[in-house]
Amino acid sequence: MSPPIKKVLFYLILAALWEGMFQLLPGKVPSPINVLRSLVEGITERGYLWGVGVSLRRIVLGFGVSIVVGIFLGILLAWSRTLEETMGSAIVSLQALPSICWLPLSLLWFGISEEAILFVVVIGSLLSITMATMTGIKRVPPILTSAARTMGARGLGLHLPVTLPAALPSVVEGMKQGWSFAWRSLMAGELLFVTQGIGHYLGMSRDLGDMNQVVAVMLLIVAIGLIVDLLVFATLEQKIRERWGLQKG
Amino acid sequence: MDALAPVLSLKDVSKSFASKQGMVDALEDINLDVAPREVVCVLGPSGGGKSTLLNLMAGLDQPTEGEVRCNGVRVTEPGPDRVVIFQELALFPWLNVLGNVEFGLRMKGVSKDERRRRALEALELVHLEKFKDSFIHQLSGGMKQRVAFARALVIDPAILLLDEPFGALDPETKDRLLAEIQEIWEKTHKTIVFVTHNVREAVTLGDRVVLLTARPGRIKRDYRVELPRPRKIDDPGVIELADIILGDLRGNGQNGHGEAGDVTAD
Amino acid sequence: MNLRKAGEWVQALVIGAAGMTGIFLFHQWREASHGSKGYEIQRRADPSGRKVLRLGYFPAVTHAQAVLGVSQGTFQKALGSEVAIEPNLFSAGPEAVEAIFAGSLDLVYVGANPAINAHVRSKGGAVRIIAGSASGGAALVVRGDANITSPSDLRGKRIATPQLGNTQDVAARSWLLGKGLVPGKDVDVVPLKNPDQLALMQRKDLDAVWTVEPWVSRLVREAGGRVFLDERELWPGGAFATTVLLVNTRFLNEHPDLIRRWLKAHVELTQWVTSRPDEARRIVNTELGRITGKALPDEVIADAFARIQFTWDPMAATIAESARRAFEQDFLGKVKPDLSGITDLRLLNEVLRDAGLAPLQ
Repeated sequence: MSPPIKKVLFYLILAALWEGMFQLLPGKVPSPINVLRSLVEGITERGYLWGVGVSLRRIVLGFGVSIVVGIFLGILLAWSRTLEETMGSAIVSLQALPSICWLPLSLLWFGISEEAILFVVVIGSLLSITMATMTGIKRVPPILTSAARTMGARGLGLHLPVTLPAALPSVVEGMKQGWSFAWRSLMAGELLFVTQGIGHYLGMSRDLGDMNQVVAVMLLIVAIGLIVDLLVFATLEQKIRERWGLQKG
Repeated sequence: MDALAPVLSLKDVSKSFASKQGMVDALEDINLDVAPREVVCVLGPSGGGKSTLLNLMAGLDQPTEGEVRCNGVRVTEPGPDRVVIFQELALFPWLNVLGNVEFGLRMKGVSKDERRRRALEALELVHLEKFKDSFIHQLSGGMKQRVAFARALVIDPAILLLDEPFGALDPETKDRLLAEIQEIWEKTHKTIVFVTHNVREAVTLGDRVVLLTARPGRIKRDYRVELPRPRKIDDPGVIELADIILGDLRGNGQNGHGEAGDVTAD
Repeated sequence: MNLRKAGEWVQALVIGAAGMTGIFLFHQWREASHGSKGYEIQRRADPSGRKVLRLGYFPAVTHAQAVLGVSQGTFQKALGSEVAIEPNLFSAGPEAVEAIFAGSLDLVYVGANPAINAHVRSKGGAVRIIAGSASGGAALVVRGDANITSPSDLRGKRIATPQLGNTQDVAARSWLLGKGLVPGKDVDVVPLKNPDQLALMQRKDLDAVWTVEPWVSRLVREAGGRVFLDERELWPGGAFATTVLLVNTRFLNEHPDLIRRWLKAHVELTQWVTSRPDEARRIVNTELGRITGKALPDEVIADAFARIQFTWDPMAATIAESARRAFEQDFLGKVKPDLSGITDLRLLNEVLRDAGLAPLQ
């Protein structure tokens, strides 16, 4: 039995069990058939795809900002020992705070606005990317930079072509982690507060007591997370593996 | 250029490090001249000052006393006139073979087409032109070594510095590399300084073998090797001279202090 | 991907499609033969074994009977000492309905639309409206300096409601549509908790709010708001169900005596609030101050009370109208809601007859 068939059979069995549970406990479990119906209705009539667009726009913007700022901060921290000892320790502590906890403060600063939700998204991924960049740079084997220096590289001409590419695998790992934090904080933010976007549909269906829709939106959220992971990060990691082999950076 | 002026010249060079036990004298009173086209081997025990000496020559470190000059110019920082090939090779995994070889030329600002041409030439020199698009992880140990050479040679440095080039290799690869380096030298006549703890390698490859004692590192003796080239590691002449040197290092000479450490024959 | 792998995936997809079709057909067959079931309310046993009545209500002037009844002990006296009353506070109806379905509430004072929602979702099984509680007391408040003089001025502005799908939310959306403004597109409709509405209006982050008392009066007094529209203007006779009394059907069937006693207290409280408004106001204000942490100036409470009519009549016709609007807004699903059986006024009518009052139809 081929792997794809095994996978499909597995999910089929799950779906059958799920439908069975619904038949036994209709008050507690929504039927997968109704969930799928709700999902289709959502896409064709309730504008889910538009909501997906809103959420994606937010996360691309927020994630993009956090990549730029995160890499910059990571480079700073790798470069200055003092900064690492001071700001670095602050960042490590902040990482312990789930980024959705920033929402009340963000709303106070930015009001109900796109900026408020973007702030939460940025904070979510910024810290991962910063730390990953910093450790990536620090872990670059010094021998690479020494060799480059003996070949005439110095200053920016050393760090741009050597240090940064050498740190890349670590940075990509940080980006992957940062992405999942950003996505989660976006969904939490849209669920808790802001209008539009997929998270909003989740909150709305809960307010209306529509469990079919609740689960349908959950499936949608999972699907999007998976698609991005596959399209973006799996491809990136594949490209890195082609060049670097299986060794870590 | 005056053919007799030394490419590399160390005058009264000393190097000390701060360590937990206080100041450690790694090198003391090193005076050494390397003439153009010479292959000089610095031979000494592991943990001695050999790599430190190489770093000083490369400009990766500064002497505590004395000065290092390359073609008359004081050495204060690393540069493409003194390229180092490290034992771990330090090839860049994000670049393919051609990219690695072109690296030094990129640093010099050479144009794209010219870079490519010269890099391909260097790869032909080490018989790797077919692998120009491969990535480093796809190559064998010996091939990686040759890429490292091509990368260094293409820059046309005044002097090539090799740090334990035979360190991690098995006997066959070592033999091949010894032959290849001699072949490269025949073609290019590069000035080479290499550092090793193996006497036979030193004698096979070097025109001179400079004995470095253990800490504090001092030059005990400077042997001239006048055996005909190309040499093999098991040539009788090589073995004979190697034994003499080994005996010298093990403390039979009056001038040296310090032990032979773990200088090996093989 | 080579041909063999592609072939494997096609095979797998075909199997998947066939399997899902099978499950789908099974589902349809079951639905046809057994009828589709709505949500059921969970059973939860009280661990201590005592009789408990779990009540839900809001700290709002529109829930005056509940506020008074709990704080003055009126309900407890009516039920007797073997039953413990467990009061729970909510800020909007949908949350309270969620609690009913989770089995955490037996009886709740709630808005008309959340009650309708509960009835529809459970396909008429889970809940019953057993009395009215308040009429009026809802209004659209606009920010005084937002320059809104006619409904079309709301275009591009932001309006808050207490929660998505609650009574004011449905009313607001319906009204906007009637004025040619599409919620979401022409006007931003944002669900916000009442205290947040006040804070954001003060910060000028909101342009308008459709909510209930005392927040309407507070918005006017504390956030520079202006009553743009009193919802009474939208209903014939100025009467419409703002708050109703909703019960878990199972609880009603198991403890009709408790519910009768409760209803008696509810009617008495309604009479008291109507006949002695000053006294009722004072007590309600103190209670709300205790609960929300802020007592209001008497004028605010007076304004609030002035907009509300306390009654035991659930005004079934207005409930039906609210349901129609919610259905239009796509809040109640695809099928036109069947409200038959949503009200059960038998016990209320018994209580009214006993008190010498006119029973309801």
